[in-house]
Amino acid sequence: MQPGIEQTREGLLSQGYVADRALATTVHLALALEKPMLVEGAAGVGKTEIAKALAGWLGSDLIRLQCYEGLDVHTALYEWNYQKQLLRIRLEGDSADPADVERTIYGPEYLLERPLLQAIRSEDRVVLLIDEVDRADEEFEAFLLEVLSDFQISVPELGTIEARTRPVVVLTSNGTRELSDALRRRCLYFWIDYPDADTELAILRSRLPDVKEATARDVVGLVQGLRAERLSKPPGIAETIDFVSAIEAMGAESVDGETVSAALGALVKDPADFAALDRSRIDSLLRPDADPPEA
Amino acid sequence: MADFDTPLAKPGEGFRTDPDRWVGRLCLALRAEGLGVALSESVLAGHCVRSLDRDDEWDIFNGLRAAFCSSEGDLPVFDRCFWQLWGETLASSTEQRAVGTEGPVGPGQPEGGAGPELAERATEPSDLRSEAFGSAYSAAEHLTRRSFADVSDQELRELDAWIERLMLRLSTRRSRRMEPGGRRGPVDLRRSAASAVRTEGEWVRLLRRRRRRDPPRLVVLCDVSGSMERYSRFLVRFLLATGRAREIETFAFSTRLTHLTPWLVRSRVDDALAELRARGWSSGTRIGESLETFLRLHGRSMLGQRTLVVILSDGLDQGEVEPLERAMREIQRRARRVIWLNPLLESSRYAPEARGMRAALPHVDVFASAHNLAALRELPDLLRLQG
Repeated sequence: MQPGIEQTREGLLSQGYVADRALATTVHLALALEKPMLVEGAAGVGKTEIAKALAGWLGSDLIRLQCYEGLDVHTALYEWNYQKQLLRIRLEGDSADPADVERTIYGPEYLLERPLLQAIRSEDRVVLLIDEVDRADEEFEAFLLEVLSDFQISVPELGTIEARTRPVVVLTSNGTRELSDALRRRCLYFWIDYPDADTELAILRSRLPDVKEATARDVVGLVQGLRAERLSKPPGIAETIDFVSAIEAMGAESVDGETVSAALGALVKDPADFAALDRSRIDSLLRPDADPPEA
Repeated sequence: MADFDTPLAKPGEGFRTDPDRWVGRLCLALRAEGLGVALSESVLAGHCVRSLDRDDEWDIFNGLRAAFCSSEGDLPVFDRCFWQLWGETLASSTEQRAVGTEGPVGPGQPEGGAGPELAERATEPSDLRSEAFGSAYSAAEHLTRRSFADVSDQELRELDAWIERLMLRLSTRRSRRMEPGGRRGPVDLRRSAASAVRTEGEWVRLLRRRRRRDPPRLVVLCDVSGSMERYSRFLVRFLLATGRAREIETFAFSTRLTHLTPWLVRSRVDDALAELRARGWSSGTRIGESLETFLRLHGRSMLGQRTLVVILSDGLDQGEVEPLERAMREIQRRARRVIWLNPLLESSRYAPEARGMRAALPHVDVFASAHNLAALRELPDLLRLQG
């Protein structure tokens, strides 16, 4: 039967994804009700990772559709294999009836599946990740609506294709554009915030099992402090992980001002933020932490 | 607020007795708070409840939250309504728990009967709404009387013509989305192949695609503080134009921000302005804070690669410089282009010395004057909007 909430949480955890109960509840419902899930939140809080962890846990294929402005049906849904079509036309030669040829070359074997069609036609249940849906334009969103409400797609030359198994759909958005209400209503909604210190520690331990406990604690303290500062691009979880990896790679014994400054590029990605974080600011962020390393 | 004398029900009692009815009441409460709850969402909520453990209030909370909410802004409203209806009346503790701290909360505070209380709440203005008008309102903001009547007909006509030119100039943005047509764009394989079928596979014609033209969206932020009073007649024409054109959002700001567009739709400009004046809209300027408010409330929906932001202000700011700079940087990053119209530029001796103006300038794409018609006429030529 359907996995319960706790099972869902553990399942995601088995893939190295630390989900709180609220997220696990939403994922559980998305699976139980076969509803798409819309995940919003700042950059780097692990929106995309949910889909990956979900696919890993369910043992399903992950089909990813990366959205961008101008994304159209031919890139998202299907395209015809023109080379193959042309070849066929040549082979038929003059004698063939053009109408016959046309019928042939617009058959299923000349169809190239793009992510959405792939997800719908798959024999087994897949996880369909529609990433950064806010980057696509309104027209694509409208088209997506049709797919998500009925899980069927109409290809003018072929007719309607219905889903054999309903894919598990995860949509992510960074809020660069307001999504339509209609799309939002189709989905279960979840807002991911930056994790609190304990959760972030748990994530670090799960992602980097060999990390030194003291390093992890210091970095998490620093990152949590940085997020409270008014940076234009606060570091996400991905940055925290990169940063710890960088520090470990540098072979630093402890997380002091010097180490942080040296590895800061892994954590802060905006020139203005970078400039604002000089040594004294970093030191003051490190100081409220457990053991001040500076003498 | 809550009526503490009504006999208390156990938290969640209403839900356990009749979940469907309870969810229905939650729907009504959410609608009363301005959350657009569609029928499909209440149906979805019903399904959610059925696949959750009804004894765990946190699961019910999280599940219904996923069903009813559809944006970040919905969350606090939902949290408030949910716990209120669940039987909890202390707003402060509600907020703490909404962050997702573990563990259910025992039957705690005495609370009023949820029904009457909700009805009462629904008549109160929501927190969100009062926030929209800013918190800087003070009785000290005196009323300023101005007449916009002395704009001559000739001037009006010229301004209209100018705005028309501006709009024409603005309507040349090319989308990344392609449409069939043109002679130089990439080959449209699909249509070319289709047409080749009719010529026995010979590609007699190569059909092409081109980038489509998309109309831009205009966001106009007008300084209506005392120091800008002399230019209000031009401003008013801007506002007038907004009523006619399709995708223009207009804001007025002094010490706080007011979204003018809804006002202009509802009433005639003079009435709208009179009402706004009565709210004390024109003493002092806090550009930075106003722009931050704009970003917070409207940034997501209004800014984008199609959006042109026009700010009309002299940059004489009484607020802090830092928020202004931050807001300008953010606006420039997220909008297609930022145009700052500063009437003070009319003086040839003017150099942008005001702290606010200096802070904003690095984040402005076009800095121009708007002090008279001649200056306004130059503007469309400044807005070169290539692809």
